[in-house]
Amino acid sequence: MPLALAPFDQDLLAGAHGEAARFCMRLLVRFAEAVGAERLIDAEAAHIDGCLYLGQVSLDFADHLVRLGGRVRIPTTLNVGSIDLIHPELFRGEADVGQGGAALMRAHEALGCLPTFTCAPYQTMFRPRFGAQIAWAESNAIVFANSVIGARTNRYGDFIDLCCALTGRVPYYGLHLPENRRARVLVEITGLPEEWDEAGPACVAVGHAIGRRCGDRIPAIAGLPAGTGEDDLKALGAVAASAGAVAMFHAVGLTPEASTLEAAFQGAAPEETIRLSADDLRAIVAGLSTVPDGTPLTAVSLGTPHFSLAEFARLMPLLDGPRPAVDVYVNTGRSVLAELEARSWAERLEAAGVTLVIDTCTYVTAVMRDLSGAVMTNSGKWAYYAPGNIGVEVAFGSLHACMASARAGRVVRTP
Amino acid sequence: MSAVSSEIRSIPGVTLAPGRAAGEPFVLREPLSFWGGLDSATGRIIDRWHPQHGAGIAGRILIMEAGRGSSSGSSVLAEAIRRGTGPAGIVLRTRDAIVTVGAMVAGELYGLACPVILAAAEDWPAIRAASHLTLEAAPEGAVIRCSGEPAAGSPSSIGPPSQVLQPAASVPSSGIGPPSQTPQPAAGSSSSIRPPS
Repeated sequence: MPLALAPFDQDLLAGAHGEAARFCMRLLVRFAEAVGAERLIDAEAAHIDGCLYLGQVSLDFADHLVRLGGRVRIPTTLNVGSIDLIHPELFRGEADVGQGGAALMRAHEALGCLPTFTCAPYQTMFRPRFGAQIAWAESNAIVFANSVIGARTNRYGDFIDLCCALTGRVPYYGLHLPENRRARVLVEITGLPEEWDEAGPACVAVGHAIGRRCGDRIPAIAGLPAGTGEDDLKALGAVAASAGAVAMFHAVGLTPEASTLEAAFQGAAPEETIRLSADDLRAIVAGLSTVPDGTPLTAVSLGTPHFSLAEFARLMPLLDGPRPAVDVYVNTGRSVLAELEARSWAERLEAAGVTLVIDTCTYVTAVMRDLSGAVMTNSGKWAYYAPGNIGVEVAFGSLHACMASARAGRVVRTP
Repeated sequence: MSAVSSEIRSIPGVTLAPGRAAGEPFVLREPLSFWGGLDSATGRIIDRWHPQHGAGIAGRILIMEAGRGSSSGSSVLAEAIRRGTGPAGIVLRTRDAIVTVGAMVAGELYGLACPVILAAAEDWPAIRAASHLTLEAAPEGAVIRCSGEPAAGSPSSIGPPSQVLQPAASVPSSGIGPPSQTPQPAAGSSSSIRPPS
């Protein structure tokens, strides 16, 4: 069935709401046709991934909309940019990327977007409600919104996210429809490594397996560790969306559309069952490291996706004791930074040798001082992308192992 | 069915992004994420896990069964088209919004057409086997013209690869001008997010 436009859509196309909205609507209509949507609906909010500088085209697109007088029609948050506007001195990259990146971030603000500059907009006051129809970009945010919150978005991305924000409309297809949100694949965890004392690594391993084996099919996961919390689900979704095209998962008993297995599958049968044993999880986690234990480190990087306040609360006690022997970076957003400052945690982190990176992330831009050796992280997503993006070797471990290794100056698994 | 050099087969398709292009095909053996997978400065595949790592796609007709990976791929594709390092056109077997948007934006901003056509599964073997492809993607429908194996020793006898025939008729005039840069040389350049070594 061809795309049917509402009167408001036709007004947008005719330029009744300005030239920028008209330009965006023209792109949005072609996009909607390409994905086979039959109509557009109102979006409650948007999250924009386009403020990371990927070349002149990034700036040309945003500047074009600014010149046309563009303004977002719905609350619109921004993903990370290429530089830390709070600490611009941290940027060590090429001048054109720094200048273009800063100009791109400002152009998005000129369009009325909120300067959140975080890949974790769900950790801000703009966290959507259950059932909200939204137009979000950034793969980890998309998975989190769909899975952990129960808001509804497809995998929107560069350009189209801004088109939705400037029109307030989103194509009604895919995960906006309740029937498309049912699980297809059952992922059964049959055993957990007893030596793992945090839920984090198990969740990263499961996320990685899902990304590799489910493609874009929605999995329902049964048997996650008892202590699995929101930040663990964040890590799971982030690595799943890095290793595959996952836009949503269900965790039975944990996520809002999966109170039971039957609810997750909406009464249908799984088309495939994947079983993961404790040994499978160990093997996946081991495979995330490109260097063996004992390897000297140049840095530790935490906070991909952006560290939450709860994660900082877990980190703070680990700062007691000797100063780290290597650089420790923690990526986070402005709203969490404000909370850290209010608690005097920011000072204590800096005094303990921790560099807070705001508005951006250590794997998408040049902020780390020394890229000559191995970097340790507790993020499956960082471990997946950093070797290709910034050319480092990587070691993956729990938060405790990362901080113990930061002190030892090499990869260790116990303090 | 075996194709011969004189045979030109017309295959219908669905227009995802309009335009006309012709060139030598580049058949992706695995899906490619443009972000982290394609260097827009050189048009080369930089995903070290991809089986065609190091190959160049500039000016080729990219044959891809499906898209993959980050939605930032739209920007990388559009940037490659702007710099003249992108594919001349793309044939997909499954709809892919990331690819479609990247090509559409290059058309809207710069008037540079990179047609994207959705082909049917039953036509896929013929498209993969062709040695030269011409894409004509209009809003109402698309045609893929496949030429078979050229005579031995004359691979260019059916025309130069990568020639963009003309801009898409439906590209609106609201573009903001021609690309501001010519294609960059490959030497040592890399994606813009890679810090200097």
